[in-house]
Amino acid sequence: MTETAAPLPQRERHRTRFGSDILLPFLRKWGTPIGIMILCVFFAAQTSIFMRTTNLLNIVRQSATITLIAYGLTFVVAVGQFDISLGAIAGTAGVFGTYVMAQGQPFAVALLVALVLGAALGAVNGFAVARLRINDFLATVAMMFVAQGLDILVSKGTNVFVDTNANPDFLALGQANWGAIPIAVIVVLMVGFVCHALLNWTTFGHRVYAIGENRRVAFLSGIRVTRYVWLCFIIAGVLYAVGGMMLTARLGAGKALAGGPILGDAIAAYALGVTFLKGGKPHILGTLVGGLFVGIMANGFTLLNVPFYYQFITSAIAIVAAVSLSGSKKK
Amino acid sequence: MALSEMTGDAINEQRLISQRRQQAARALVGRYGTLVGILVLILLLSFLSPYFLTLNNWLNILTQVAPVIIIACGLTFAIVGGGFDLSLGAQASLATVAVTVLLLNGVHPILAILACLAVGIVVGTVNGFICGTLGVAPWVGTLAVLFLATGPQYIITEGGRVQSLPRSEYAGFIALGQAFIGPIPTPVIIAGIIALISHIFLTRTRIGYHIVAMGGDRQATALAGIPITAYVWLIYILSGLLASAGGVVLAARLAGSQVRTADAYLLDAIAAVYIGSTILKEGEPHILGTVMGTIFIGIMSNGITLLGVPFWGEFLFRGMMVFVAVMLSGIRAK
Repeated sequence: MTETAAPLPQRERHRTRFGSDILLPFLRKWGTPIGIMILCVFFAAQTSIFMRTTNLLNIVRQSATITLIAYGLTFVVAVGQFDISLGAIAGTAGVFGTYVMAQGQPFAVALLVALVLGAALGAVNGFAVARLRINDFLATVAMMFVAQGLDILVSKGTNVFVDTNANPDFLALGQANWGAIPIAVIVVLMVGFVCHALLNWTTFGHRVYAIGENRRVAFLSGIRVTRYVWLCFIIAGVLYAVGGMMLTARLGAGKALAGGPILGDAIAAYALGVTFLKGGKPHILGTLVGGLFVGIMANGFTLLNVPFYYQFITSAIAIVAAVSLSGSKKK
Repeated sequence: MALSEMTGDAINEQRLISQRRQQAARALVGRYGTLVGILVLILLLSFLSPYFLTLNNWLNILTQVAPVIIIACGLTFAIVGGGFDLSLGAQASLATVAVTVLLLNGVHPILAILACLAVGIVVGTVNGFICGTLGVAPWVGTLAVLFLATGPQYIITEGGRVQSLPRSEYAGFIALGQAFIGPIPTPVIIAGIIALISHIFLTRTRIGYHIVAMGGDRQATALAGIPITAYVWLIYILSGLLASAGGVVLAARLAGSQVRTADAYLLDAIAAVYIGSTILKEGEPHILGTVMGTIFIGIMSNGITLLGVPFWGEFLFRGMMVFVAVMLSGIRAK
């Protein structure tokens, strides 16, 4: 037996370097708001429409769906897992909701059905990840396809139309204003406040973060890890469903596989939010800011007549940039 | 604790023996259980449908799964090397779309195929850069590349237009996917050759050993002086290359393309690799297993089609397959 391993190289005396010690941490913390400002200046310079009040309201309305879904992802990541099925669950819940309304049920019932469906699919995710201990990415990729199957089953691959006269509340969720503020924004802020409170001001939230930080230590200190992981997936499922209903309300109809394109946007929103202020810790305020970023980008692209598919590329770049900047590389 | 101190050596020995027996039984089930399952399935399906056991149907199954075999070989490289590649389906779709667009613009078929393979290498390099050099977790990194590979498909088809290759003009290229050599369809032969090369590469060459070592214990491999980052690049380049090859074969078989055609093959490939890791080995992905796993999935989908399950059922089925496959394989760690 050798007594010692090879001696570790002595670390150089630390010199403050501008790039890695000043600029990088600054970008980590403030990169997303700076990005938002740059985007705003850029789009405002390109088109005069961008800064109009109606368009700004449009932006926050567009961001609302993505932000709600990204809230859900925030819970899942806070507990140390990941979820790829978010767009598919949102889309399926939206389609189920509109289907129920198309059968003549009132909006409240439809919303309830959508939320229950979201919770159920989230529970399956939670069961697979927490109880069966399947890798979270694999389990949720599988769920993505299962949810899409359900989506096609109900929507028959086309649109589900809703009699909007019979359901004024439904359209209001996506399109109406309360005073000057869109109802969608009020929903996002209220849900965000509840989520923020839940994650920051309750034992539940502290335990969730503890599990995300170090699952084993959390387990050894007596937290029921399985239960919390499960709960976070269920909460996430409900939030995806709210986002999905918001999406269908904005469109005024259920659309088959509408959740597909949201996947990249929501993950980008979450990833941009993680870097904001806290550098690597998922939190609701950050997700809100990230959602705004993605909404502004989508809106600006639409105004500049850039086709939707360029957003795939920009979300990819945003995710990689945010994740590699944030230092939360090991997920 | 007190009990085991009181018991003598003999009892301990007996306990050890019974433990070993249990382990051996478990290993037996682990190694051959899946094979038995496949046989049972084949028997069941041949009772349920008279068409199932015909030669034509089997050649049909093999032709259908040929692109998946190629893509799943790529995924095997990524997983064996300790990574993962969620962008495979999108990369294959990109190759499918790119090769048809190039052909329709009058590029020589060989050049078009080479260009697509080059695109696969480039996208693989991007994966390697993100996951190897930037050190982003492979799940997140390759997920981003999934979107990165989806955008260009719409760009080169001007918004997702369906491309179709007229049979008269592109007979040579379409032969890659639809012709026969002797009784065997060409795509099956291509997939077989690629799988064979991959198998030899992974089990008989130094680079292959290094990839396996890196997947086993990355830190130890680094300490042994193997350039980890370069090997991370390599596994993603290989998986990108194979995904593109699969995409090209698919384009030839379909004689055309549509955006995101091969996206769902990601799931088939994942299920195939994880099922394959339970064939003849206990939870280690290997090429032979991957090929058999892919064929197994092909049999299942074929059976489902023969039994007349509707379109949405396929989605549900694919999702379930991944759950079951991953549970079977017991590769639970990340």
